[in-house]
Amino acid sequence: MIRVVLALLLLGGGAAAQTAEEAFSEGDYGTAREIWLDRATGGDPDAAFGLGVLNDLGLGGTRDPARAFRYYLSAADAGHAEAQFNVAVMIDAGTVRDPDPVAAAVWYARAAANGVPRAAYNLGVLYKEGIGVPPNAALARHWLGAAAETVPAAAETLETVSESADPADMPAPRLQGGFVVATGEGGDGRRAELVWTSAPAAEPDPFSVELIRLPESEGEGGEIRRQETAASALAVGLPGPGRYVWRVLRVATNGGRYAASDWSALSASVEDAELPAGLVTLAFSREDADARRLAEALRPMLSRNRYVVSLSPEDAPVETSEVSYGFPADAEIAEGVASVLPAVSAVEAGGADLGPGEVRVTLAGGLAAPTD
Amino acid sequence: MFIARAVPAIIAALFLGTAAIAQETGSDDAQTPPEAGSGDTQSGQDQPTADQGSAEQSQAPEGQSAGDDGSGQQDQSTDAQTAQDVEDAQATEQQTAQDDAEDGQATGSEAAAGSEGEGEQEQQTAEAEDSLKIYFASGAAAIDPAQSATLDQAARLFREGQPYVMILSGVADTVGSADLNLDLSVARAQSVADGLKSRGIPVDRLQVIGRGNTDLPVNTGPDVAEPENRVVLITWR
Repeated sequence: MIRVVLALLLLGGGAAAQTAEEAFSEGDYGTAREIWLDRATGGDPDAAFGLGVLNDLGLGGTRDPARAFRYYLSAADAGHAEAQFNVAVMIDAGTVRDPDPVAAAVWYARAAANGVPRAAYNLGVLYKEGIGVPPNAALARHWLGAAAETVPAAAETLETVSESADPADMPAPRLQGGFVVATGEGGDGRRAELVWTSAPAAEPDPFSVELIRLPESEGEGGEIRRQETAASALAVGLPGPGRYVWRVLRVATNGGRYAASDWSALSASVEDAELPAGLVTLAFSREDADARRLAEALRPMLSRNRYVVSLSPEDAPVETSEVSYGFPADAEIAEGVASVLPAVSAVEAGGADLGPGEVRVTLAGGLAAPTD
Repeated sequence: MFIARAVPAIIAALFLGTAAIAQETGSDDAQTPPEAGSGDTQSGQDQPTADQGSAEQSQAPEGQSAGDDGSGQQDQSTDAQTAQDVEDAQATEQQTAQDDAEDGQATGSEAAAGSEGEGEQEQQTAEAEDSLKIYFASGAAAIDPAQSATLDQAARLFREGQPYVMILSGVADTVGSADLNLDLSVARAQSVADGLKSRGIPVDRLQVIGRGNTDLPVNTGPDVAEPENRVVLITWR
């Protein structure tokens, strides 16, 4: 029995030991600091945040805003939402370096996407006033609305947002940063925190965020995810390991047009040369073995030309070989694809199922293999 | 700037009974002197201690992410301020061993980060603020929408986890009777208190003070309408 008790005490993390949070709430800052230093060594963002608070308030030591900032930044980089908010405020207020509303806005956006209401409120105010971001009534309203449940002033401030002057017709979104953090869930879990901005638009079209996992080998297809949002930031789980790129678009709800940001690498190892030139689906009848072989032969060639290729075996019969696209702006992409494929011509599709930048190639039967 | 400061002696405040709420709690944590026994806490800002140093080193962020491939570096097409953040993170790594405490500045493209932004952005001079002022119309204690921008400024100064002691000191100009002006000045300070709380600013301890016509910002004679005397002064520590 004694041996068991000793073992428990030695383990330290058991029920007999006090947590840093308990020590902190009891005012035992020395103990809290020790435990957090230990945990921070293992890269624990909560511990880093705790150390930030101790240094910020001067609990159990002198106030040290600069050191607090560095701890907060470490936790913020790892996706800790409150740390992200604190980093934003310190950058906004100019506490440890010159105030930088542009950088602050990005940090507020990350914190807001991670659910910190005060961050959403402050970001809404920045969008309302055009501080650090372009003045944008729609985004101001979105972020103030997101805060309204928790921050009472948000509802009042929301009422004072006036329409943006000179909204542009179809302004392309501008990416401000894509960050990957570990979620600590499911071992491999990762989350992307994506931030963009935009000049005010004449039409209230939502943003469409595209996230693509690039194929690892020539035999693979790329995976495409799309999500619509009225916000200017998104925190989204990454569907798996791999290398990702992303962009944000505005798509006209009454069809026909879109405005896209540039593609950006989310994973550091992605080079500019790998950013997509377009998204190509090779569709063929499930039973058409010739077409399938052709599709598999075409895929690596298209990939080398920076197209992200997916194969789509279909139940419905595919009768003709043709290239189609959904938006007039994508005619050039379609023509580029058609130029490397023999005996097909580009045709505009009326269907709503093709997204911006997407080209669909239907294959019926084998064709003479193209010579590179 | 969050400089620890004593409440200035000139606020020889008139605490009006229930209206002035001084909620100083018994355990005034922010002002607890450092524990002698807790190792590194006594060291000055410039001196790293072994455990702090190692902790900071090991938890220094790698670029901007904890991704498996060290992902998160920014594409050139994204804004310079994200480059600024990467530099912040790198500065963290570089500094932890030496802990140049005051040098929170990242090296490099500060200028790029500051100027790269939309043309309409207006750099608010929020640097090193240690007080804010809210103005009021004659006889009024309600906060004008134009003044609520100052409260929003406060929301951009106070971070989470900070139990601030805030001192809201209301003043009235000399138009009208001293009694009414005292009430007015308290009502103004209370308005501001409500405005701060409704922005979620973490105010644990609040002093709401009405100065009436005493210690006027602008010394006027009796019965002088003076906008600078129709204010609430917000200070904190």
